Amino acid sequence: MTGARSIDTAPHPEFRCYSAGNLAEVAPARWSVISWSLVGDPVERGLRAFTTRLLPTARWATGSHYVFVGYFSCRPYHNLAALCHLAHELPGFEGADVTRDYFENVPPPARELRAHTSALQRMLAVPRMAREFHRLRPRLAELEADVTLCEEQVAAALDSGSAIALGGAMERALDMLDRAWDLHYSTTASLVPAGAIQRRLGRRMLPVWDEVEPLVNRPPELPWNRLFDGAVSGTGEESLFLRSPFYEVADVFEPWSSFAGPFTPQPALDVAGPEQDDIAEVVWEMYRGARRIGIEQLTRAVGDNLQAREESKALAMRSLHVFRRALPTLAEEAGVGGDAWGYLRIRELLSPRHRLAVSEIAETRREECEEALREPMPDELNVPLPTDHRAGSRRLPERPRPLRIPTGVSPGVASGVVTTIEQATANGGHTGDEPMILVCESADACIQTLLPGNAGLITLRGSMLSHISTLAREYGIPAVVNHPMAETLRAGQQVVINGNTGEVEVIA
Amino acid sequence: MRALVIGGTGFVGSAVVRAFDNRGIDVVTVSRSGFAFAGDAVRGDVRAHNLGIDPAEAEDLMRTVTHVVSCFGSVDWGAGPRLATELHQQGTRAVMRFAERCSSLERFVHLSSVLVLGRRSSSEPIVDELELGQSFRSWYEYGKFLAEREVRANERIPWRAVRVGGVVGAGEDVLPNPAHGIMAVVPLLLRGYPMHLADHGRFPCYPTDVMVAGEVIARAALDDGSGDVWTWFDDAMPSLAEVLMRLCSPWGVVPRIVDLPFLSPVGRVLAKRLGTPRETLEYVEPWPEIPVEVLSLLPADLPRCPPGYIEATGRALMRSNLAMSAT
Repeated sequence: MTGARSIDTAPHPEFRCYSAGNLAEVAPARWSVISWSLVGDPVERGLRAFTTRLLPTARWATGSHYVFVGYFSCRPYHNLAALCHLAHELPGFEGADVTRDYFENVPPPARELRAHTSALQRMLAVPRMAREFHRLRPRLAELEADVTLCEEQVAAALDSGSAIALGGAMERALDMLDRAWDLHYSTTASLVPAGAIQRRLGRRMLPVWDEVEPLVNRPPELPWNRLFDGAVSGTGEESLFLRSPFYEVADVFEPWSSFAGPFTPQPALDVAGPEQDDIAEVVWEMYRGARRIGIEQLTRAVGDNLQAREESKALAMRSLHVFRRALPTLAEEAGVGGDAWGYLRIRELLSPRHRLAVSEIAETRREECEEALREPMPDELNVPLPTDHRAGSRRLPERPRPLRIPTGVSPGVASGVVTTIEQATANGGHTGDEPMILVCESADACIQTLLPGNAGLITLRGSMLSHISTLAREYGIPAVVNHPMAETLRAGQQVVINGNTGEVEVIA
Repeated sequence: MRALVIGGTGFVGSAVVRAFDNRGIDVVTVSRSGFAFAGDAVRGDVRAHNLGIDPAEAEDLMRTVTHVVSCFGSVDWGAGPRLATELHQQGTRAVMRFAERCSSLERFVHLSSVLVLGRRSSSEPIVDELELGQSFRSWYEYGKFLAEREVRANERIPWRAVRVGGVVGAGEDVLPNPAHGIMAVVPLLLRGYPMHLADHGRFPCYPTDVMVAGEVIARAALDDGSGDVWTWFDDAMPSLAEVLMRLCSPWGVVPRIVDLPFLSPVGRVLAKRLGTPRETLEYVEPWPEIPVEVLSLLPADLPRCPPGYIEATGRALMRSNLAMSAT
């Protein structure tokens, strides 16, 4: 990471198709260097660990290159080719299962490598996946206790002004952050095979399974309700992160603040959604006997996994907030002034051997970032072969953008007047008598408090298992994601949306 | 006085339209086809914004309509949750929103079904209760339940709900759909296949004649009062076995109804193999008990189901050959 373009990671020599999709849905458009180091690196380690636990012989998931993520011109990417390859290495799954659930249903990239895993290893991955499921709950409980402790330690260290205490707390926080991202990506990656198995079994058991699935695949309880309650009442250290954008820790400084987008949550009073039937119970009571037993158990497992995913996301965000709070003090200790720490990696800030040069590194990076930020970055990258790469420019070519495939992710039909996040935020999540359809580019769990007041949701980005899709289903709000009209719809227009088919119609 | 019948070209809706028309009431039918058996016709769709009615027509209707009857829906017992939520629940919401904007509205009548009672574990008598902790045998039942719940929660319009049982009868304009409901098993019975029914089908299934149902719904719209539920069925309370027998009688066929108490899971599998729709198999156990006394809560001068109306259904189906072609 030295020399020109040191902010960029090296593209993987074999998995060459990158997608901003899943990250761009939920995170600011560009990330500071420090945020990348607090997310990208742990995510890479987490996905490698997950892969190794499932497929101990998967040597392709090791090595000196980033395998699962990449950072180009300040923009984080998932390595779509590598994630699809992981699906291929598991029994009965394919890349399309990954892209359907997390990457806006784009066509999966061509296979880069042939499968290296033996049939026996693939079969052994099944009980290993089951073990992953089984371990999620205790891992979450353990992590939550550690995150709470770490928040307290950092708060105490900041209060006391003890650099030694703060340094020690930060080392523990780094370990905690690694575990949080590992857990979050374990839950995320586990949902792909679990959902695929459930879908296949469900279709065989119930003729109307495709209509039933979005109704029953719901987390038993969302952690966000409790957290937003804390944010509204102003109590609880654990809810503080909700007042900042997700993912970006240098969010108060230019230029990163300008990329944060309309994500800053505005806790509203109506956190709870409308009262609904327990639709899963309706379903299980309706389908009795053999049809019910297997599919119900599997659905409960998927629901638990969805909840674990939301909880791990909240823990990862809380862990990041620990750094957000401590970084200005740490930077001061390291002799880095003002906003310069946003251009450093976390290890450069914490490690004494870097301390002498941190200001210099930060200034160099600032120039690199300024240059990188002038480059428009595509959503999809198809990195050329290494030989071409050496011969040509370092500019990464864009993958031909696939057509957006509107996807209904939360069933139901709704009509209403288009509103924006800004308008909804200004109204505190409350709308008048007129049903409102919230339209935005993308959204994360942070807009949860705005959802109950709306009759429907349309987003430009998103997939079946995006956090916003999970939330929309939880609130029973018809939702269409990945719809190109989200770019052109204007506040005040009247639309009808169909959360089953993904159709959006402008009426007036 | 002007009545708007949503779904007025359906089996029950057409009878309601006839009932209004026979009384000389100006009646408007809203249907997807834009057709009407009597009175005026308006093209519309409850799934579309503002019922999909042309804005000028909608404005005229909102100014002139005094009674709204909601008869739309599908009785497809095999449909999925979209039927329940998109059509029945949200469609009913949309119809009520329209009714709320009718400045001279005197009554809103919602056509419900005794099947909203679903499957109950308790045998407490039912009058007009809705939320009884029941479970549901099909998305149709749940959809009708959701729709009635929406209506009962509405405090802005003078509503009345009419629950009817299985609607049969020859119908003046529309034949019953032989593919759905009880009728779906008739073709199999006519071919001589046995059908398993608990207690040999000696439990009530609350049928009613379609033309009488149309009269009752029209009366529900015209009679004073609101915020109540009328439950209507044939007071003779024929059992399910009796209904099936009378439906098949025009063909000279006696249905082979069997009770396989210890073999019911096997019987279900066999029945599926023989072509019985899976959703119909959910109705082979006794239905929730509704006391005949609920009929005494309704006006005394309501018409009674005419003798032979069930056989007339069979004859109508035989003439049209629909029952056999449904297989």
